[in-house]
Amino acid sequence: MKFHGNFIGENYSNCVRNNNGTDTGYLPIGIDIQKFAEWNEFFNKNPVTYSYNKFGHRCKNLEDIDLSNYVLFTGCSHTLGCGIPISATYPYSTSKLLQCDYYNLAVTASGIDILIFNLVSWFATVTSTPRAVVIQFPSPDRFATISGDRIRPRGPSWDTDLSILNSIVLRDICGIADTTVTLAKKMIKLITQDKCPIYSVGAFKGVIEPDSVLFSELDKAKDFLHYGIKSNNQLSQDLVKYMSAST
Amino acid sequence: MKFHGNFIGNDDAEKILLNSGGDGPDRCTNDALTQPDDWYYKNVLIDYRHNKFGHRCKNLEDINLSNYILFTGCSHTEGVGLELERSYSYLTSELLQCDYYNLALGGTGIDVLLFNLVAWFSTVKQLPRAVVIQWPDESRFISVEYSSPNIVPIGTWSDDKKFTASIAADSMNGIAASRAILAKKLIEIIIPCPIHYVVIKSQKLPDGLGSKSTFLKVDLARDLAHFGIKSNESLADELATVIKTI
Repeated sequence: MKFHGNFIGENYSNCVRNNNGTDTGYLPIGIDIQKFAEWNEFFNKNPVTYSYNKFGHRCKNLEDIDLSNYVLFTGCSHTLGCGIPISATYPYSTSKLLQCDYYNLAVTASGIDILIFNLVSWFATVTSTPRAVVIQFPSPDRFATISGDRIRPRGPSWDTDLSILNSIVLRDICGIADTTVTLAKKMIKLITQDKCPIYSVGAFKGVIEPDSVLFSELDKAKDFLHYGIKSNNQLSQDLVKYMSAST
Repeated sequence: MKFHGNFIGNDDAEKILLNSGGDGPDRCTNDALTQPDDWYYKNVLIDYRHNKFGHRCKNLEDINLSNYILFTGCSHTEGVGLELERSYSYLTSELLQCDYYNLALGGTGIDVLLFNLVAWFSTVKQLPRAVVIQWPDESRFISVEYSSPNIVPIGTWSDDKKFTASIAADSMNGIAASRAILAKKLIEIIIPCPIHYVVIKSQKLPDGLGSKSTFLKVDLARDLAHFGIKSNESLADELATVIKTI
């Protein structure tokens, strides 16, 4: 991750890459090819690329967004769409269904600190209010450490540094992770000022928001870790249904 | 501390207290024994009046929002150990002949400071002439209790081992410093008016902290821990000079 202007984005900006986070650019080894033949064939034929805008976000540049009619998405790799083509990500298909534009602030492996940084920065610098904000809260035990230009995502599922893991455990015991969530939710209310509805998407059941629209695991992405194309498509349909029902 | 409306403030909003942090009449009585006979604070009453958001200043609706300075920080800016009229925020605004609001809260760190600044700039549309930010100790944080509205400030004074272990680990791993860098960057994005920082000598600071003044310990406040009357006067003089040039 890196600072790009007023935002935090992926390490790369204004470029196209063939890997992101757990998607190495290659199909993972050790998968039962016969069982997942369709999946294997699809990703062999359709390479997944990651096109980053100038802020290191996987969407169009801010100046190309129709700010009179857009939805703002944020979250971690599940919202960035790790392991699937951009046209299969739920922010893309949700905005298609809603017939509007969208911006995707999601950053792979990020935690609530980065999510809040980008959201607060958005509402402080972009004067056009989105039609809705869709937030996929990452796990509260994630955070970033910064050294010079380098922003390192930290989390219990990939960090191997014992002293960082020690910090993660202590933060949980001390209630820092829960406090981060409480403060984040209050800050989101403050910055949006009830001007637009806020919806929550859950990558996993029971995480942070009880009334989240949840991903259903219908298939796997190319990295075999994130939700696949069908799962993202289903989520966008569920999300649009939920949005319509609540307005 | 508690959430009061959009802000985090002192537990005792709209109350007058005789104690704040380590300062209070009982401590003063004990300290008087170690001080010269003519110690200013020997017989001085200090009251801590908090507005309805739990901040030590007038209520928001009574502030002249067309000409004001916004202050924030920890106990050094709240003015612990001093009468309100001796605190540097009060003195600076007197020198500049303008109003002021003081978001500062004793015992708080960067998380509360950022929260209150986000709340201010999201809800108060009139911009201050300048924002004075006294940078708190970066190792501090708050813990919000599950089933109560209470917010517990945690810092190096804590005697709970899990908190001291977490502070040490976060400091060693650069987590506290990273929080400070993120906060500083975000503060500079959300505040569309001049910012001037106040720092304590030899305090750990994020890189690139812009225009700043050092709060020098010339004397001590009534609690013999915080900076005293002369220190606050000196800082107020410097801040007024700086803000006049903005």
